[in-house]
Amino acid sequence: MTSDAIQSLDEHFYRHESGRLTSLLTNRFGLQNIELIEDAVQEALLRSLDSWKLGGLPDNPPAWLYRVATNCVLDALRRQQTVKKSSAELQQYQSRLNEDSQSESGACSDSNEEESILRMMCVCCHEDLPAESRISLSLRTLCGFSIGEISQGLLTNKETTKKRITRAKKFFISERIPFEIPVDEAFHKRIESMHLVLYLLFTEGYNSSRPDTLIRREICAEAIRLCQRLIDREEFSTPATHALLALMLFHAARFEARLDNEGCILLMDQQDRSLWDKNLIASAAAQLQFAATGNELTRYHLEAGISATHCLAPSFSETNWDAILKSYDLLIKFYPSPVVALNRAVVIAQLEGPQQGIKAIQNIRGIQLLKNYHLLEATLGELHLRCKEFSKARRYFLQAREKTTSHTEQLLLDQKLKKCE
Amino acid sequence: MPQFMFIYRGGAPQTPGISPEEMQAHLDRWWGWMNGFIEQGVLEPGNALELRGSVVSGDKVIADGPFVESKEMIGGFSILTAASLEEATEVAKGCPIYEYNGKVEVRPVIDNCGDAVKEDT
Repeated sequence: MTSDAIQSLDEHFYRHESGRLTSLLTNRFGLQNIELIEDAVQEALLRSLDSWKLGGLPDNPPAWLYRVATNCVLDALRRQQTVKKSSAELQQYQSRLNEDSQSESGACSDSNEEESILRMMCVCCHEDLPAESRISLSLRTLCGFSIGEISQGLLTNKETTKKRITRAKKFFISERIPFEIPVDEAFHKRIESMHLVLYLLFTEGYNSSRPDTLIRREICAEAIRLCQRLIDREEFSTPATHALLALMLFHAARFEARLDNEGCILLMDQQDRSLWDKNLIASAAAQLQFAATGNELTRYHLEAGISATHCLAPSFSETNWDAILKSYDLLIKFYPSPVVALNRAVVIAQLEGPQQGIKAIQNIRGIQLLKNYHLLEATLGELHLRCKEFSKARRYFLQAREKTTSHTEQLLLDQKLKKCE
Repeated sequence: MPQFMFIYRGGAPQTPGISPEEMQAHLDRWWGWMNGFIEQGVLEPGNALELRGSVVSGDKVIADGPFVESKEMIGGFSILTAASLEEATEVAKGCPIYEYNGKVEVRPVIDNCGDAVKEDT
């Protein structure tokens, strides 16, 4: 076992292998066997632990895993068939296996793998599943997250996560969902859902709902990786996909600067811009170029545009707030939401002063939908603070502090509260 | 120098629900531990053992006998050169297998002439 070989197992080897194997085997044995396939994948990964740590890495670890996992599925199917006393299904699998057994590399080939993973993404993002199920399922089957990790990430308990995943699998079987990429009208719907799932995944990582960590980089990294998969495949590589990737890369570029050494939140005007990742900003800008085609303006285009304006400004004071406001105006027009309106109010405050910002917040349509959203009070607190209305500001900061579960955010609110004294 | 066999029982592979990320971290620590000895030339990489097996007792063959109890499952073995059983035992104490409730059995290997390891005689 050479250190080179060990390095070939990069940081996320097991996580990615888990998603890859699940996709490849589902492609081969069908979505109706998904549970059995997941068990087989787990079994193969576990066996590799014993085998590799003592005997060293095989020449081709992914192929080793694929072979062992395939055998595990076949064993499980055989056991099932023995119980059912009918082996028609098994024979069918075996004859199919014989067909491509000459070239194991064929089943494992790059194009087959790419196809399988895209199919898996399509299935996990089925528009008839609730959004939370789509996210949980994607994290589980494509990114190899454990039930515990998903529950922590989505701020729910393990039971709920398990139920969501189990229900989704039952849905696949009862509705006979085919393991394939849909065409025409259905394709359009599905890719919209895939974009939304990736966007929500990234959002969860960007401002984690977990109490102890603000940024969950591994969730963001997985969202970016999966989006890159879509870009690599022609029919998925739409302007909206490019815009979504640009949006994620622009935000990821600022990760290093968002927290200080003690883990406290640094707001935009406090961030050390030299810590922003220039390479990521450049890749993001390139993606934005690719996004600027066609006749569709999605929310991802607009949000990427806003993010780009921030990233490309030489300093906070030189930010082009007019351009940002224009994007928000368009977002409000085509994708209205109280959250967007709240963010727009912050830009108004930047351009026209805190009083106007407060007014804009008071005029938000459907503001009652934000009653559990701590950033509403946090923003109002900040704007009143800027107006030197300390007692009002204090009241809002206290309300916001009660609503957020994030320690990091509570710390920031405490700092703000001190300014109100 | 006397040789010792490390027999690994239990550990991560017998732990259901372990996440891919935990596997990766465990394997990294394992290799960190093992490679140190390999570089010093005191440890020969061993091999993993398959889960199935059989126990032969007289004319009776009992397949899978002692392997059913997952905690007693033997994961694999390796051979270590050390001055004494105590030294080999110390080495085994650093093994990452305990993170997942595994055990290491340390057994002196009898050399070619059939004599037991000197320290033990």
